[in-house]
Amino acid sequence: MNSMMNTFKGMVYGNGVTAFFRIALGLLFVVSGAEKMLDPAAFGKTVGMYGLLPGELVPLAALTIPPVEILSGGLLAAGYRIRPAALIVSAMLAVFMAAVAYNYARGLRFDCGCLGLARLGFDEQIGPAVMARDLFLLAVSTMLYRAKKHTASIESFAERVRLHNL
Amino acid sequence: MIELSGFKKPAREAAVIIGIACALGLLSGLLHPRGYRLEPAAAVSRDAIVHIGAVQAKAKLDRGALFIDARTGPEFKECAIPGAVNLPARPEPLSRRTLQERLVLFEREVEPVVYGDGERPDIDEILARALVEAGHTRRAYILSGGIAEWEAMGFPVRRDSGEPLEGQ
Repeated sequence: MNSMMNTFKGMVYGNGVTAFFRIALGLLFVVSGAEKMLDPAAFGKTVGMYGLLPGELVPLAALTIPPVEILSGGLLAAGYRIRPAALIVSAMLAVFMAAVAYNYARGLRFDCGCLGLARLGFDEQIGPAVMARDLFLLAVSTMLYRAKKHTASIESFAERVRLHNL
Repeated sequence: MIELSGFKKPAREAAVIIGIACALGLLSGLLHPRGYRLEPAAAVSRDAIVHIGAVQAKAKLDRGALFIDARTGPEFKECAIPGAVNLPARPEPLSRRTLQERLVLFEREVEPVVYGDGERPDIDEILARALVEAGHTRRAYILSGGIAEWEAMGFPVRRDSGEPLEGQ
């Protein structure tokens, strides 16, 4: 029990597992954003199905959400500007979860359009499974925001160089 | 969850990252090979798509509503609701031009009912929205449980006859 607690504390502070989650979450966002950016019209349809934005804003959202995902995911994976990138990812996940919950509550069932996994045959219909997955990702991104140390990152490399040159 | 002390700096940096990403996104929209632009999407009001059950759908069938089968051609050929036409919604809904050619189908008093296999109402909704956006109908109904619910209620089904993409 104690060792589990220590592992968890180590993750929250920042260790190899934290770095793994950071890189995995970052790459997930890059892939997901790229998938949407390749077909913005299809993503626009998905955004429209959520019924949260007026029609005029849907294309704007379809064009701007994917690059935000790619850039914040890329920064997370590379380990540069980790805190702001984790903040953006957390905010996106929170908004997305609320949108899924709203549509699930009003009885609609459609592809969530989150990761583009439906094309690979995975079920991504809005519902408790998608919300649980995003809650987990939100916990990971919050942990990344709070972590003090980021191994295998540009930030830690730059810090090592700076200390070396002191 | 997120500590507020020292929040300003990451928030400021996050705003800069979002700004850069949005600018890149808008630029990519202008350069996209498929020509996706910032054209306002046709507003489909929320009450334009209405989900209904099999009993309500049957009442609409009795009143002469057009039933649109959003499944694939072979599925439609195997079994379908009598009088339905097949407009497959996957991989893509039919083109606007093809829909225009079928405009005559929509000249009915009762608004159309879209149905699928009951497992993927999102596909049916894509087609229903396409119909409303293209101006063929002011409102489209979706049979929530699809043909599975229809059959379970014991309503009539046409089996293995008729041609795909042809209606009555």
